[in-house]
Amino acid sequence: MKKMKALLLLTAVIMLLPMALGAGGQNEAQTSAEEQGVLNYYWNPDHLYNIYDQVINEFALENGYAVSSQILNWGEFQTKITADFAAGTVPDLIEVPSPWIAGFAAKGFLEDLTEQITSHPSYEDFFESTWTEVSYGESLYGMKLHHTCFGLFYNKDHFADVGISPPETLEEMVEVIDIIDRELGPDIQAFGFDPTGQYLIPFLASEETPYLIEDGKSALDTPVVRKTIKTLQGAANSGKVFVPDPGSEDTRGDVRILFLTGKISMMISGPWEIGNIKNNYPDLNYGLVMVPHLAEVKPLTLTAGTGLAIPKGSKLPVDKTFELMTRLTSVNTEVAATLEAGMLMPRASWAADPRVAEEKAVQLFGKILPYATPFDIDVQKVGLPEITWGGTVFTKLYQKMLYTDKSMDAALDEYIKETNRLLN
Amino acid sequence: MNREKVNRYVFGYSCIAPAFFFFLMFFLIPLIKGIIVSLQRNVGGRMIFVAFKNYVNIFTDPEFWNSLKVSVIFTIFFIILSAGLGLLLSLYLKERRRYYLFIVAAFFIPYISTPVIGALVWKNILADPYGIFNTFIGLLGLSPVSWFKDPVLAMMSLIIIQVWYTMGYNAILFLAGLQAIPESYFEASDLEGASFFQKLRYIILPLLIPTLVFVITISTLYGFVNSYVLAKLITNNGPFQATNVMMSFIFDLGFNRFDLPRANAATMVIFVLFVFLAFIQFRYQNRNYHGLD
Repeated sequence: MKKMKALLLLTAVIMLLPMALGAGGQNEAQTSAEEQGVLNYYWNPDHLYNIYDQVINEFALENGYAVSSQILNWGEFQTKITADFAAGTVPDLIEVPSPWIAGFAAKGFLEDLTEQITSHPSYEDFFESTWTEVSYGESLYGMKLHHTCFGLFYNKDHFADVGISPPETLEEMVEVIDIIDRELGPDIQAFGFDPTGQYLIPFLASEETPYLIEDGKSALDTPVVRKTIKTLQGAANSGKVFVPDPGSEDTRGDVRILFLTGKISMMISGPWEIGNIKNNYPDLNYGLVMVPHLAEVKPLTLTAGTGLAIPKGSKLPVDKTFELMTRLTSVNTEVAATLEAGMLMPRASWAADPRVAEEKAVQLFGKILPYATPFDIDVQKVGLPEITWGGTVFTKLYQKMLYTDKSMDAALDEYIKETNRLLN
Repeated sequence: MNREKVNRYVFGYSCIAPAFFFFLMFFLIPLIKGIIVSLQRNVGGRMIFVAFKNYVNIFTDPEFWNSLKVSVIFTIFFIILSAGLGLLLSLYLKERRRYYLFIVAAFFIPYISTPVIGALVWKNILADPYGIFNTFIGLLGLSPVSWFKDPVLAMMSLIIIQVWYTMGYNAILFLAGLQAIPESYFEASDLEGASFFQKLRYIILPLLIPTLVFVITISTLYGFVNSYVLAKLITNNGPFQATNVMMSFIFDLGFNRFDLPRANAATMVIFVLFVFLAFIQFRYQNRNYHGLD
């Protein structure tokens, strides 16, 4: 009988132990958060600039907060934050690609910051277009941290070797591909596509087609878009360019490495390359031009960049976290980030600051940035990421362009039909 | 009920209580929560009850049927190859030939390695055009093979990699089953002049049914669930969704489209499918396995 009682007691202890530990841990964390305050934030590893560390640490010190951060690549970031939203274990501040902000806002995951943002003195200073990217409905849910876009990087040495200029139109780009392949191939390939399809979008964005969705329908059903995709399919099938295996954002590094090591002559990318080149590939002689479009088209490119937002249910007071957001987006912080990493920023006073005028990123991208459009922003707002890059429907179209010589008219028709079905 | 009987009940339930507790916490409650979420919809942050709309949505989604088809094809070929080769390997190992330990280790190591590492290794081997395989055949003057850009080759690659990953484990399971078969059966069949295939048909396979059912059940699970790791890391579910397995579809719903209710609905469909398949497999075992007597 004694043995049985002991067994029962042991069983009860085993059963209660996890609960006791769990509850204990929770209480401890809560107590700790209430008494000292813990600033918990998620950040991208490519944006770990010293200036951001400094601003965050100063803010935490002033307010007596401990700092806890998680550094996550975009792929795992998405998984982690979605799980957090579902479980109610969100951080206080997140840095995410700005279209995600609209997407999260549409699901009710973010704090509405309209009042704080519109009453802040810096509101008017931000480029007006940047607010489109962080809004949902009539409300604002975040602030842009970086404001960038895509351009065509080219290897100046390769172009000098064969005596040509960088292409201004898509037709010229096709010619350039032929020349580079003839003169420098096969060791050097003329251009590298990206595995996700994101870098196709700058080719599609134009004044005629500034957005992926117009009037509740796919806007890609135009002769220009069809001709553009067919031209790019021809390039992909030519054997003169690098066509990557299917992959996610994380495998984009293959194309970047090939460009940075001089194995390909052109690639589409953004100003985030500049800090990397400066630090790790200082001998690379490169230039930047607008992403080539068909000659008859007035070109635009795709906006990029990240934003800051506060998840609903975060532990620190929203006003406190918003204060940190304003410090991270202040002109002085922005200028320091530009000087440190060549990043571009979303406000007028930054652009006018003489300290950044000499920066290579500003000089290269300054001419292109005014022509950037948040091409697929509505996709997030209507909750259909599958119809843009990385999504299943768009990826199918992109992969047909890259990996087959089948009719792109049929592939585009299929894409448009499926997109319109989903939109309806 | 007398005191002794009560004590017996208490003792019995106490023994299963810890296991039941974990079953409750990590299976039953999440399952019930999953079912509840699958009947809801997120409207501007509020979860509203929509009955079976998510299920209707799933069943009318061509991507769901594509991913189901992909998973079924993957699983069938994977089971045939992994179980078949595992069985052959176990028959070879049963004789304890030379290099027994080396061969066991060589085939079993993939199973204990992290799937992510295995996937990345294979990706580096088969990548086009700069993978090890294509570099090697390039030296021989041959054109590179686009393993991951062609839908059929991509699917084949994933199946081969998954077979590489689990074959050794299956062989060990079969080996354990084979060692449980009395040697006298084989001796008697030798005296009768039975061929290898007759032994396989009349002794080995009938007596390995429990192991075979277990291997098929586990492999079905691998085919549907673990294939996600390979599909995500190696082909990113492409090309043209040719390797978009069921778990990738569910993951995409949940984490890329932030649609947890529909992701839960799809998960419930898969859960029912698994239960059904497991039921059939074990029913087959009960009908066809008559023990060693």
